[in-house]
Amino acid sequence: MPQPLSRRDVLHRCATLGLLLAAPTIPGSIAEAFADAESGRRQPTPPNALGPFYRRGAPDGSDLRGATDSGLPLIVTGAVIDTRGEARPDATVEVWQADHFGHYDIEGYRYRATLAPDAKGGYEFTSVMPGHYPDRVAQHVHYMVKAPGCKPLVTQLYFATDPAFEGDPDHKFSNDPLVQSRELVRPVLLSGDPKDPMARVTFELCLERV
Amino acid sequence: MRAPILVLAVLGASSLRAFSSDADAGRLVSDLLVREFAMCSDNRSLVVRDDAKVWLVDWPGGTARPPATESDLPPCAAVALGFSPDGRLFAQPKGDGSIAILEAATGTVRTTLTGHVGTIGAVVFSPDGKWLASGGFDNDIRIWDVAAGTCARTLTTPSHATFTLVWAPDGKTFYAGGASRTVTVWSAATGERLRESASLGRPVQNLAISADGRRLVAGTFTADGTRLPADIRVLDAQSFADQRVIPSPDGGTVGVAFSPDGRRVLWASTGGRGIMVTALEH
Repeated sequence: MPQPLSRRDVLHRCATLGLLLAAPTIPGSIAEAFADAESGRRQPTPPNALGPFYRRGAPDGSDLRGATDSGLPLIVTGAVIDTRGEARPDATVEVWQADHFGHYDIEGYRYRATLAPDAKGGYEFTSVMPGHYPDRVAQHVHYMVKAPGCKPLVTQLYFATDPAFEGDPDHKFSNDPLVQSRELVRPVLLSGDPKDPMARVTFELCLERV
Repeated sequence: MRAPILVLAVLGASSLRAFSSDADAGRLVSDLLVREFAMCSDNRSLVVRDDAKVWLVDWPGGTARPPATESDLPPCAAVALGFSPDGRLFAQPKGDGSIAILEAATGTVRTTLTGHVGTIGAVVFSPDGKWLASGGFDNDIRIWDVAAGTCARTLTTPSHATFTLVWAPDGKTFYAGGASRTVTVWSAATGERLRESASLGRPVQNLAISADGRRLVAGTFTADGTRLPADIRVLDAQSFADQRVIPSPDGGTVGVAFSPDGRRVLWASTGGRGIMVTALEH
């Protein structure tokens, strides 16, 4: 099992790579990253707006699709951890999204689910790539994540392949003004039979300890 | 977003006049792109917010002026915009689910109410000012004890976001509207849901009640999947029977109100300028 890097290890590696020479004053974020690497501390996932279409009580399950639904199949995986870096199998993860056509089910629970992470905090669900709709620029999946002793996390997952980002999510993520963090825009891996592809995305959820 | 109090301090002098005081119907402040408005407790003025400023609008004359100072606003506080009935306090929802209770004149935070998660759709003081009702996108409606700064009750709501709340004039019940597309009535004392309207077909964005408590006006919007045009509905507050349906020219409303005598409905829509005034039959 690899040992966590000590501060000295990290500083040594940076010196070797010339990073310290190039940047004699360590910016706060790098200094924080050193401290985090040493302590196992993690930064919480950035929050994002709750949105008006949340419905409490989504059924348990990990397949959001109906058998005959249209849309590019989507598998989202990730781990639920907290800011101490500990896995949180005791979390509940609620997800909801528009269907392929950009419609939310307001009366029922289509494309809504409550997920239970596994013993290592891992979660996975199968869905379709959410559609665009007139009031929002970018495709997105909503999350509400809760675990004992942590601040509830309300956020949204976005897709780097979204045409809204014009192929340049690093610079164009704020084409949707509600996307306030680049970190929420995740890479999309297309896999499977080219005639029948599916999209895979990973999205880690880090809850803030209170 | 609600109008931050401190904005009022930087307003310049200006006025508009666009409405004849003896007309039954028409348009008020037609030069303003209205984002939010409500009738003031003095029944002689409206508080109106456009993209840049807060305005005081004379009712029914229609003369608009920015308040000269922050303390100009409380004497005509608008409860629907989050002021207490006496104008001294202002409830301001934060994006993180907390609600700040501010002293309206100074902007000083008196207390912060925590419990909701995420966006809060509505905060409204009770007519006696002792209670604050809040409705969240988290599907909760809460009643807060304002003096104690604590949550007195969390209501068992149907699983939908709340966008708007209004207290009945007697303070015993309040009405809620939101993503459920219905209007629900709640007992403030017991937290029970007393009645629910039939579906209005669209999410309910704004609610107001007439001074005699007999009529409601509901502003709806066209949401994804609704495929029905937005409208403004005047309803019997007891039976929820439609008394008047006014088609909205846009996708939804940003505010609704009754005139103090209950004979007119005031409404503003998302894309239109000014406040429309529609006369009601009696």
